[in-house]
Amino acid sequence: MNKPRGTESQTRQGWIYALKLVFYAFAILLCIATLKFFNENRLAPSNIGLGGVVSRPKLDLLFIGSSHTRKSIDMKVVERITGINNSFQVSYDGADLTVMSQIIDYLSTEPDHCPQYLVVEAYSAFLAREPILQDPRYFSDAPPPLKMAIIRSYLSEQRGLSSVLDIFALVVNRGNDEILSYPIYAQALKLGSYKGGRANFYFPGTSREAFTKLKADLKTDTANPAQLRALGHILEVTRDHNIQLIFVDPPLPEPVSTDAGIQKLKSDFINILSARHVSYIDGDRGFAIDDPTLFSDLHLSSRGRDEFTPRISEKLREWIAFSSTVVQ
Amino acid sequence: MLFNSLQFVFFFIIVTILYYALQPQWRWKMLLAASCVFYMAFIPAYIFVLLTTILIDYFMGIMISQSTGTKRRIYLQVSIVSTCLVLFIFKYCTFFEMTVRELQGLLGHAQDFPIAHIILPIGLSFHTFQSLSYVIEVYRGKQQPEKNFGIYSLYVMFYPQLVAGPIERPQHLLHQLHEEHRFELSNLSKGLSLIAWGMFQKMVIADRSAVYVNAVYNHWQTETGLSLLIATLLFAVQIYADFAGYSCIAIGCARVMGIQLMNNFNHPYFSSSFGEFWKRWHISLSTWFRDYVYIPLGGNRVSNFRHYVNLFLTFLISGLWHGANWTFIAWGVYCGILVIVERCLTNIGWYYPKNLLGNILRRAVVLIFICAGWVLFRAPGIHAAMVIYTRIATGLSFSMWSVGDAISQFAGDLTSVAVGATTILVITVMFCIELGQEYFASDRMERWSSSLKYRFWATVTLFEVIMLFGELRSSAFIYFQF
Repeated sequence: MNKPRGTESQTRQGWIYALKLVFYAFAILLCIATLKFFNENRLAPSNIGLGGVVSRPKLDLLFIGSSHTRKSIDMKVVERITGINNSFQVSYDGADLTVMSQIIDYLSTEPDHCPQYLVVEAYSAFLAREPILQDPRYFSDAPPPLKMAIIRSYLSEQRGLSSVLDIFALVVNRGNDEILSYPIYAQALKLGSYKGGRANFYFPGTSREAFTKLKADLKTDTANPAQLRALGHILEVTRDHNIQLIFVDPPLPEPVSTDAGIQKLKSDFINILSARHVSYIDGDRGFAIDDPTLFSDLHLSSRGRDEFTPRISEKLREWIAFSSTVVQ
Repeated sequence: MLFNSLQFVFFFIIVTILYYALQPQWRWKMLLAASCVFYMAFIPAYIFVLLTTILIDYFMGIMISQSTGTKRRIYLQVSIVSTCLVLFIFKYCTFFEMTVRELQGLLGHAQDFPIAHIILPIGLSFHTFQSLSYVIEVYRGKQQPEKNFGIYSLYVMFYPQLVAGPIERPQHLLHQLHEEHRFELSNLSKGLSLIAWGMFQKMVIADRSAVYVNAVYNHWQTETGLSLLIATLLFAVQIYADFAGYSCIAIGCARVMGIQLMNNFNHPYFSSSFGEFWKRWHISLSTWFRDYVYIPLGGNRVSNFRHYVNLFLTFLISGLWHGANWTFIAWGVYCGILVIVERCLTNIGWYYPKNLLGNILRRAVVLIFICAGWVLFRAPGIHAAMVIYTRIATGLSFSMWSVGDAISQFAGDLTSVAVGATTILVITVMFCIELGQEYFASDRMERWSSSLKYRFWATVTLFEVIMLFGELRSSAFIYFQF
């Protein structure tokens, strides 16, 4: 059947229309994504996360960790007890050793941001976890060189189309809400944080029933090779840059802390650190881990934080004073 | 295969290119094959359930047209009963068994019989109703029976509207499947802009709202009144954007191929009465119930009391259609009562003041009551719905802690404020656009919005917004479960 001439012309126009649509849509998206990639860290809040560290002069004391650190450490109490005012806390949800290693690596290459004393979270469950980027804020806050390191690290661990789509989502789709609502968001963060830690928040304790049901979310009790490599890298970088390093394992609720998998990972962690003569504080020791009011789910409640921070600050004060001593 | 998945994007591009590349006599065959692939992407074996319905109604349609009198009626009854039986077995059997068990328990005759947990074939209620409308229209003599089994199968299975409508009428769709559709640029641009708008509604509005709604409704026992109120309002937005978005994508996909599907939503939240709401919400289903349930029952050409009974029954069945659960039945009853009360008030001569304030007030009242009804629709059970109502009514607190707790549900972390503010912003944008279409539509605007240039840039802009602010992980459409 012969097609009428008008139809052919319409079809050609249709192809041009569709191709133009695809071209403009992706070209504009590419421009936006590039602009965002190189500049979004400028909008990183200056009182929390990486934005807070890079906006401050060389820090004396820096905490790095996950939400466990954020909910366990009250920076005001730390400052009061240790007497160090030039301190800060960088914490991202689900930040494991690979994330912390990237942050430490980046800070160590910047003489202005390299801390003197570094407190790294040693949450044993993360030692067994496959590296994932749980908190996209980390990527948004990261300066372009660190962003590239994050992407390289992710692509070296994950393969296939899904990893490329993940990176696409991370670069293009994540962090836009924070940019769009920056004035409100920045103000809210200012109200809710102090030197990178939480402030003016209340986390209630857990009921006895819910407490007994808490369990460790472990897929394996074997340390992940990428996490072990990251741990080794942290130890090397801090040694090379003469950063005083200590690991702190935050307290875990009894049903989780006594889990055989957690116990094994914790012991693996301690063995690695003691073999390298690195200081370590076990948060569970001397802490009422069987008290549900001290825990809000797997994290510390506000009451738990009020109990834990003075205890850990005292130990840190001793460690800073005798930084060559292994605190146990 | 979800509309909001990468898989579907490739599927749609390939099917559309093939459609226009093939000779017209091959197009429906290709569309039928594509529709089978689309349906089988969910649970392949269930294509046989669909085939059963198609076979029954195809042959009954021919037999009805060839017979007269009682025989004709018997064929119609056979068709309706057997099609509804398929629906009953797959959709209501488990609910029926559980209800019988509960009743036996209440009467003290509890028997422990096994309950068959059947997985509902996706979109069963939609294609069952579409198939039924064909048989009924043939019976009424308003539609010639379709002799071509393949075309009839495509009428039931046409992939854009296969799993969640719009529920088409044979008079509107069947002849279009026979026609040769030449490629038209205006169809392409209109279709693509509709798809982009639908994706925006689904991925930016509905899926964002869903995060909050799920976080709160999944833990309704421990949530505050304020969180539950916000979640209910967001669910009203979610269910509208989810379903209207799906309908837009379906209409757009068909439009690209030159096939026009009926409009399914017409800015329902701007309705000034409950009756009007149902003329604007899920139009293809509302008109289905009007034509095949309400009018056959007698409609409004009966006594007032009988009229109210007809309305009540129609809404009751509509509730049951939505799901095999007491909450859906209660929702149907609730909606029926609202319409009946409204009719009663109109009958006794009660009106809102005919000024701006009255207009705003009547719309606000409709919106509030419709939103209240969504609690029944979303809650996991009647008891949960009652607790939620009580907590919203008596436990609203605007203390610093309550507000903070409510906001934190948006993302569960430090970004909650940003996510919440952006969600509210995009919802506002969507309703402002709809408000413009509703109240400021003019010929000039109509001409402008149907120009190629406008559609082009609208599609590009929507694409950017979806990529930047949409939930890129595919999540199923709410109405798929029906």
